[in-house]
Amino acid sequence: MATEQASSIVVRAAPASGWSRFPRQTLALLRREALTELRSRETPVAMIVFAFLVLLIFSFAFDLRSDTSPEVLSGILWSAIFFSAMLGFGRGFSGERERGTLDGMLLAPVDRSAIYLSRLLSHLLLMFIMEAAALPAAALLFNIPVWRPRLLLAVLLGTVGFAVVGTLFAAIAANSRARDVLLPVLVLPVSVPIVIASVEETVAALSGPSLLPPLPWMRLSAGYTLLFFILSMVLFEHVCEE
Amino acid sequence: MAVLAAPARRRASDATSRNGWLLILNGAAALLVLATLVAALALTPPERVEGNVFRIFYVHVPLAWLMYVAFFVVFAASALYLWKRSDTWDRVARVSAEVGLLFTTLVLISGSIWGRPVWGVWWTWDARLTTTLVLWFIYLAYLLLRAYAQEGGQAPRYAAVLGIIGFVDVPIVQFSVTWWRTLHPQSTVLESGHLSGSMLATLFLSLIAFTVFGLAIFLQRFRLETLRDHARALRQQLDDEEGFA
Repeated sequence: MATEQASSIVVRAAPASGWSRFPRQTLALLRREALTELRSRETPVAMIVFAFLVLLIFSFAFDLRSDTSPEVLSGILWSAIFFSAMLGFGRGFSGERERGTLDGMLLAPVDRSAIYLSRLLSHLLLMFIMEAAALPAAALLFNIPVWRPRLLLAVLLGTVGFAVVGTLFAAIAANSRARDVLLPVLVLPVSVPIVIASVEETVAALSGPSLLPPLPWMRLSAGYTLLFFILSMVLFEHVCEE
Repeated sequence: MAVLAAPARRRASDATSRNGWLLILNGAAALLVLATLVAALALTPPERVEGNVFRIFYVHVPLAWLMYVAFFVVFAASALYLWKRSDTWDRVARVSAEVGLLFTTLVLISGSIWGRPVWGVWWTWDARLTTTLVLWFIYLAYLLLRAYAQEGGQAPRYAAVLGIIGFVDVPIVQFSVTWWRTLHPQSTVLESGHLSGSMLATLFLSLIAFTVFGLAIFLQRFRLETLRDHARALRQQLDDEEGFA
């Protein structure tokens, strides 16, 4: 049963002592996440397809041509990434099944923050897989130079920042009645700074050739990510309790 | 549970609307707001640039102040709830969120009404308006989270987490939106000129008046929620007892 599987995976990791305990727990949990999420391949595929569709719809919505401005292209790219991410986060926690496995994990002697961290890492993995497909597609369709280090760094920062708050709220929304609708309602207002920062960094990356994104926006992304990562690690315990 | 133990301490007057202190507070709020209206409409001169339209300032600014206060109370009560696990703090948080949403809505509406004659448009995406709109959505998310929560003790905890995260986010949102707007400036900007003596006094009066008003509204709502929680607990108690019969 899922519960026993989950706690057995984690108990095997538990014997280590001291500093190595937390990383080992996290890795064990991550292995479990990866096995369940990626084995079925539903979620990554759905995310990729959805990202493509968003790009397609936006091309109709804005009548994009080869001379479209970086601002518009950046917005479209990030819309695809963020909406697809929320789709993925929402699917990862499916209510009933989740309660069973979560109870299993809570029975085992793990830090609650290890659960959050493993969730976060699995969500990041999902997002990176989706972006690995969406970015080349965007490069092809809109003729944008996605292979610049600057743009890739911008995408990386935005992804991590969004996943940090998205994971916390996904755990919260999973246990409510209208979880698919509630997740965007919770995540989007709070993620406004990272949305703005990511879009602005991408605009700069698309407009000019230099190596690093404009420092202020990068600082905002990094600061936001760090702050909410710490906050989420601390608060996740309250989300987990029964 | 604290709620079930409380009935023994309730006084009869709490059940009626004639709770003495609340009446006095309501009366004081009404008088002060009336005084503010008189001062704002009749006793202060029209503003140099905007004329009489400016008078909405004396309502708009205190409402904005109340909006921030309410949001802070949600944050503080959420943190206290997670720490102490007392139902009262949870009640303070959700009442404050509801009242705060009301004030935010009024800020947006009054700002729009002010903006139309002054700027020519109902809305502009300048930094302050955008940030207020985001704040509105965060409040709304809080209330929707509570509304869509499944039965069980989780909703207060989840809401408390959102209350804390939302509040911490507000200065960051303010900062990032302001930055974004300085990059892409728009033509209409709210000018804050100097206020003359009587205008300053009226503003001061309006701040006090609306604070009292806000407190009165909050306490009324809080009392209502307390009674509702009571009723719910008693009903639960009855259901449990009937289960044995």
